[in-house]
Amino acid sequence: MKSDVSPGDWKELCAYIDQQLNPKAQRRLEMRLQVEPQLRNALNDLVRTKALLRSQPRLFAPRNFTLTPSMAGISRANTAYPVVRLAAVLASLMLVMVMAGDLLTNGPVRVAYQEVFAPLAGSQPVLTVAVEMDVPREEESFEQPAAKALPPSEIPPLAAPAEVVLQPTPTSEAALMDEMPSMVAEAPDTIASETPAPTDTPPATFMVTTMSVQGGEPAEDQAIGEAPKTAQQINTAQAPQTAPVFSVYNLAILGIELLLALLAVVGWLAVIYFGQTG
Amino acid sequence: MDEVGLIHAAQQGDLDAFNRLVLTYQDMVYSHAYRMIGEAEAAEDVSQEVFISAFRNLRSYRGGSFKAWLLRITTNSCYDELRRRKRRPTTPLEPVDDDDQEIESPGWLADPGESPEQAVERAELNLVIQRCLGGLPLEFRSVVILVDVQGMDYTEAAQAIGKPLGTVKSRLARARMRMRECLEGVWELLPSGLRLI
Repeated sequence: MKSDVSPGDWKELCAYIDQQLNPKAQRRLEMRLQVEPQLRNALNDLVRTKALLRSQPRLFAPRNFTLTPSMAGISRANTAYPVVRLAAVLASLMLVMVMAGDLLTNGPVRVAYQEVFAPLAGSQPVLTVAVEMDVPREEESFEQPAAKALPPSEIPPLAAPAEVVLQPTPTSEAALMDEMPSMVAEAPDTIASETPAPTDTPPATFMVTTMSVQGGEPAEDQAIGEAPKTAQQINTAQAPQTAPVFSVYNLAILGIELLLALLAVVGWLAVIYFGQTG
Repeated sequence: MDEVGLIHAAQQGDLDAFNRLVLTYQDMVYSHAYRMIGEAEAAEDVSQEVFISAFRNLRSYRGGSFKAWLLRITTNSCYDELRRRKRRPTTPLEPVDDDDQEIESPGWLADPGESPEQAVERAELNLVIQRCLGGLPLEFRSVVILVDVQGMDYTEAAQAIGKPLGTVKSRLARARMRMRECLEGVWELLPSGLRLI
């Protein structure tokens, strides 16, 4: 039976049987129901349809649909996620604290930095020059003139006066011996009484003049009159005396820092992995 | 623990609390899924998927009717299943009768208080009603099932389908009209109490 009721009326009838009409619209519809038989028939059909649907039996689930942990996506890894995340955070914080303490004190990182980078930043080459000088014996007054062996253009500028150690360098022993009588004759009284005659003066073949431009510090360890040192000995002697870089304590601190860094990296990788799979 | 407490605990990851909610609502979910799809096994699969999805998306529940929220997931899952079947039609494994309709023997549909003849009539009537429901467009079918079969009010139904109240009224009216036209030929199958209306 095709309904003669308009879609609008049908919609109003539906709202009427569901108590969804306002009182005014409800009264108006009830008045129409009394005078319009098609509307009453439609209402009856609607009530019957709704009742039929309501009469459908209640369905019960054929089984339980409760979830297992695997169905819910809960795994041991996921339960460990908060612990792993906390461990990663703690390892990172401890690493930062230890490294901060290392940099503020003389930890291994700071010492290593000083050893590697500080010399490169402040150092200048140490120049060692071998000078040959011919100084007469009577002028052995232990003065310290400046070295003159090199031309001025080749001598690097000095920060401070260089210390020059002179030693008598006669060209030959025979020449020395020849000069001695004349010197004695000229001032026999004074020289003879004040200056003892040289007896076993070892011939000095060359003199080493060290000009250090590194802060202009003289070679303190080389006293006047000592045998000249090689350049390597002077450089080593002039090297700043520091404590060994990797003492046992520093090695321990370095080990702790490496371990914390490893823990932090592994922890954060695990957090990322569990976060993606969770 | 009341429902609000269970929901809150489940949102914190308590699976036991969520399973208690499952036991409370699984009949309703299964019933809706069965009415929407028309097949028992498919309704089982969809119901299980609904609860898995509900647990994983529990954080998106922001209060209101938990029943309506759950039925919304159920309706959408049924839509997905029916659309998937349209793309890949399946061959029923159950035997068919002379009219090429599947003969289902869902024992849980039987009313233990009925006589065998009444049980047969009821089974036939249910089959007809289910067939008429299956002939409705998806958006009409879900509304008429929610309001007329599940007994929800308009507001809850609007929440369950995620549409405004006016849309619910309009779709319900059109669904009932189509159901009435579909059932016209089977009024004689109606229980006596309904025939007199």
